[in-house]
Amino acid sequence: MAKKNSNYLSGREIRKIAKENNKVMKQLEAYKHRKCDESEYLTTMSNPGNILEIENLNTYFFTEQGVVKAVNGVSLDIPKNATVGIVGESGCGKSVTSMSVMRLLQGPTGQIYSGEIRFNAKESDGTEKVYDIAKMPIRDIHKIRGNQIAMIFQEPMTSLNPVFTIGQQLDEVTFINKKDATKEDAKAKSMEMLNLVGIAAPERVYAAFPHELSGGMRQRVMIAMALAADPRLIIADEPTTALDVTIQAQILDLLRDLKDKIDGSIMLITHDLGIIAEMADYVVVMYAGKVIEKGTAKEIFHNPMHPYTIGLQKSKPTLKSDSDMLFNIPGNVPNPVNMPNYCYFKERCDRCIDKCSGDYPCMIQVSPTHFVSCHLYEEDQNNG
Amino acid sequence: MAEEKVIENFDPEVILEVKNLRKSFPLKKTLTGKVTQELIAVDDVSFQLKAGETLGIVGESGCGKTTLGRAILKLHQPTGGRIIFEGKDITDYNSKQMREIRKKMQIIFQDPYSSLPPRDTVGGILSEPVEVHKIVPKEKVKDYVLDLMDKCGLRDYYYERYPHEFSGGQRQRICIARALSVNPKLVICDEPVSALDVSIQAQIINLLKKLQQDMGLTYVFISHDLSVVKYISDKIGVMYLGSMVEFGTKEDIFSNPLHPYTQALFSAIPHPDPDVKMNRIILKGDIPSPANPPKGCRFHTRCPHAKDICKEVAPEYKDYGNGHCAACHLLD
Repeated sequence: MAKKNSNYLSGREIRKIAKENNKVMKQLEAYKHRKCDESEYLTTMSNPGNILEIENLNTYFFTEQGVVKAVNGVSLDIPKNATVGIVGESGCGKSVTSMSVMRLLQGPTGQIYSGEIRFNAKESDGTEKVYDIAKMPIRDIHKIRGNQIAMIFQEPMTSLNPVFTIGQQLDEVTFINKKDATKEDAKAKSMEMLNLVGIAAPERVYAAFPHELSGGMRQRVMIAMALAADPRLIIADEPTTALDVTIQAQILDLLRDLKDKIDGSIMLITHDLGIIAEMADYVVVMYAGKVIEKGTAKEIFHNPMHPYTIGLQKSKPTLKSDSDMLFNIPGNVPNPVNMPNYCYFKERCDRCIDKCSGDYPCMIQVSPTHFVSCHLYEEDQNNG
Repeated sequence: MAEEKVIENFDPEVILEVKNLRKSFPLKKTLTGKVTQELIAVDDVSFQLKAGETLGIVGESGCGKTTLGRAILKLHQPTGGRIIFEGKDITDYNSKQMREIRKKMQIIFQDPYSSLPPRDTVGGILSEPVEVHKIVPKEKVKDYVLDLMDKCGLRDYYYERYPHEFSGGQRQRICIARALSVNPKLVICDEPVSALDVSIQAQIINLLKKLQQDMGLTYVFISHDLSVVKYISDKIGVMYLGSMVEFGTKEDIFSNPLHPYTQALFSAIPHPDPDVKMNRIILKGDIPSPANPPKGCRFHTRCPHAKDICKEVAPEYKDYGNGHCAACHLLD
């Protein structure tokens, strides 16, 4: 017999959870599929210099074990023409944040529960319109998904369609975005994109099937596909994790180059602090569904404040460090169902104070751009 | 039964010696079974490893580092070359003889999610090798296993639990405990931390280091992550397309990398400091297919310093002093 522990749920409990979940999910699904006028989800940016503003986003998964708050009150801004890196361990909600922006969450289980995602879209006539993506019905999402916001996925092996050639898949992007495009237009655009991402023999790649290309080449094709619609924001979700280091260096170099060429911002999601340091202007550190620290890359790397950020940086062996034992953060990430109401990092933190058993710490502003969510720094603010 | 060969003049400090090891896999066969095309996964690799040392093997995917690790354990029968373990040539040992040797050499696999039997408890997983190899008397097995679990940072009440109840880091601890349960001398770690998060990686690396000090283990540490390899290794071997391109002590390899591939590999690692702007050597193109490797030096298709001779003649693997070996025409 299975041993009874805190994770064990009886059949009755599971049915009770499912009943409650169904009620909420039905409501949210109906809201997602409603018909409404554009004016309902038009809004204004709080700072016109930003391209994307996420405010207090809550994305939940309604599972049989209970509600998983994968993204729990996340707020972040992406300025125009900047690269914002989101860093965190697996399960910290960094991918779910990007999926929420793209509205790619797997329904009915995954739902945006509350919050705002304001996106500054550029219309074809050059005017700017601000949409609240979280409120947009799913039938209107094509206004921004793919053409205004594009995504580069982690697995270049599985995100291309194996039964179509690279050319067909690239052309499709142009056909969807420009209704009056001819075949020749589409091919010309695709070739331009393949050249842009540094593919040496674009004619050959255009006619090739995905399985004929290596991982690095496929990732280049994915980037070309993302760029084909001239997006304002590119979300790169672990773009180099599946690649070798020398190929990773190529792709990162390419992304850096492209950022100067295209007029857009990049939201870079990764678990590798090295990549973040090299690519990002702003860094957001996430832990267990919450943003725990954010600031410019220099602030985060030279003056990390949250014990988790400090630990993360110390626990990574680098080529220059030469110590005997690595610093390690004890324990594991807490169970995503039934999160405690005190600081989620308390059990693993080596700098706990009495206050940590109290409420979850709120965001404290340390400098105009640097925010941290930790009780350790509350005193400083009161004094200063 | 093959006769036991004792190697003469064998340095007793050397626990493992690999001589010209070669492993190829047949790709195409004729009807009569003759191999017409083969993939050479490991080609002419030689090194010596002293007891208590850690050898790090780095390289990109498809360079043959995993095959090398498995060939040392004879999980793949080598196609050529010799493996000498503790002064005995084990290359031609049969499975019965290998069983005795396996007590002394163990492996930790990359993916802790698929390398544990889902239907057995932690206690069962850890006691099985102890019972099979009769490490301790039957009545002491449980105490022995609990002691081992304590050493590996597993709490005693995990004994009755199943692998699915654990996170990746805990599972890797179980895998480590299982490998160490038979008191091995040599442990092959095949990418033991690459499936884990950064904060968990540090825990596992520290554990491996501590266990090495306590139990006098010798590691062959296979990884694609240079910073991890640098941290744990005494000696480092760099592999490219099946062959060892450079081998030496950690200090030599890192302060004075000889082979252009090693140099490029080092410069490709992103450094976690926004102010450090590295002069990166970016290699052009992809790794060629190991089934159809380029002629001459295998690296010449991507090498920034390739000369004409590189395209025709394969460079010799030579010692450039202090056991620092490399294979490159530029060094001549």
